[in-house]
Amino acid sequence: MPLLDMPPGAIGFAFIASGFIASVFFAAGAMVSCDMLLLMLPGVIVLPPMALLLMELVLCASAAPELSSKAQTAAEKMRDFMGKSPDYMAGQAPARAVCPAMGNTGQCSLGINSMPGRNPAPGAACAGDETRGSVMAEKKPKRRVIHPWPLRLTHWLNALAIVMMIGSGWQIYDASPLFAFTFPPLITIGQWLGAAIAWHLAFMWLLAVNGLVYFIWSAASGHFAKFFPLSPRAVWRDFTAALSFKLPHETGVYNAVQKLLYLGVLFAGVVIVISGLAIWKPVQLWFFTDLCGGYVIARYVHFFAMTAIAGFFVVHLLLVAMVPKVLPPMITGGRIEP
Amino acid sequence: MKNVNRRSMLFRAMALGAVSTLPGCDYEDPAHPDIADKFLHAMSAWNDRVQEALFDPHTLAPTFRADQITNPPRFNAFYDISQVPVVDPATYQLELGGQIQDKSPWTLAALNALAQTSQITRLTCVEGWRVIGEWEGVPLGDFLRRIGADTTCRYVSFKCADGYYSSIDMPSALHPQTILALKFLGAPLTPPFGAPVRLRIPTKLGFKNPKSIMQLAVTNIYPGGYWEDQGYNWFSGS
Repeated sequence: MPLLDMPPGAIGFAFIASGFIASVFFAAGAMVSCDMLLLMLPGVIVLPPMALLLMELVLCASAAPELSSKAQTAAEKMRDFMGKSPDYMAGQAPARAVCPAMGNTGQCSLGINSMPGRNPAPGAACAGDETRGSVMAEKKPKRRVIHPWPLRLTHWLNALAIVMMIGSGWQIYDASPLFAFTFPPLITIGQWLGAAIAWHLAFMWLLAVNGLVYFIWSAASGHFAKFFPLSPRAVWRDFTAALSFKLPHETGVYNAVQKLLYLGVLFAGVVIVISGLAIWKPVQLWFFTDLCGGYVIARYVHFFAMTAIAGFFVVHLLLVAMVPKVLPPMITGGRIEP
Repeated sequence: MKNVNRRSMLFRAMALGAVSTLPGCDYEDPAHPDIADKFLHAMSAWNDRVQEALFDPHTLAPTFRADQITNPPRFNAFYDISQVPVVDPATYQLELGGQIQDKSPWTLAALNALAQTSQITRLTCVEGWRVIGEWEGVPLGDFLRRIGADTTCRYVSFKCADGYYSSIDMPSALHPQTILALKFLGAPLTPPFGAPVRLRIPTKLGFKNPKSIMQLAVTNIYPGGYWEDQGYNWFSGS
């Protein structure tokens, strides 16, 4: 049985168990010394994914024969489907002879059938497909990765960078608050301003370089195509559907709200880097400071960009908690099973 | 199902809590750096090099109009304003040291006799706030050349009447807006704001502007600084 089809309880159990073990190590490290504490960090980050990966390997290996037969029948079904409705294919995806997403998984047809009111957009599903190639030519269809490894790597490095940057940023904010509140020291990183700045200016490199790698990879691999097309109508339709819990999660395809959220947080990421540079180097990088409306306003821009990212962070975690099956693929890559 | 969600949320909250306590031990004891301190030191040194490369001797700090000046100015030090040391301007002498040909000390009158320059610039504190003020004094580059300082040296260091000390890189010392300030708003400096002589360097953060300077030295040996030795980034350019 592949991991994706596992009951959520088992996934949750694996996570909690590995997380608990990691936390015990972490607490033990904290009691010994600060050095140990830092050494424990990789353990905390690596342990849960390792446990999941192991589970998936074991489960997939034991379920392999069943899988391939399943895949074959699905491919046969697809062939029948394509053969029976040539008009549909010609009308909907004229530029592509075979939509890999359709051929592989039947996602497109599923989406259309289950949502009568929705515009069928197989082109959108195809555009984001990472592994191009005709399924029809192969006997056994290749299983498709939901999240390619560069995406997963940059995702988790970014998660670490964001936690460190926001935590230390809150401590820096507290030294000269913009508003009538400060962040409690319990949730900030660095016990005093000097340490907080040191963490902030150390992890800014991870944030910026990792972000740059993501942008270059996304542009080169065609990942950005997954965000388009995007219309206000589609956003409104999916947003209202999501609010009434009628929006299904289509594996490997972003819905309109997701597209908007991801594009929004990417924009906030660009803004936070530019406003950060504007604050860090208002003399040498004066053009960034001017772009932000001066040094004083740049601090507000930086703060609100942080608010946007922190807000995204919360919504992102809530959505993952609501649909927990999306979490393992971000670690193992996941497979769109036939 | 609901239970699992709640538990996984709990785990996530725990993980976040664990991460947020992680850097709690940094820079607590500069004499005994732990692995976190070493990591931060290495990154800070890297940031020094980046800022040295980024520094353009011809890029000027922005200047402001007289009506933008922050008045009254904001006092800031590592002690309360009641503890400010008072230096007698009549007996004051600026001592010189290090790679300088003519190390004879300078009186306030002699410094005042040199060609002066004035600027309305922004002082940006490492804490985030900023003030705008008008300072007048001797360009440090002119002064260094006059006393025969070896301007190929890496550092210019300062020691102050209140025990504060700091140092800057030579290219920043030679920047046209870097001055040994003697006056603020047209009047001699007052003790809380660095009387009788302070460094005014608008291309660096506020704590790189030492007040009540008693000694100036030119050296190739890294002199550090009061805050720098506790963990603030040394270059701290703007």
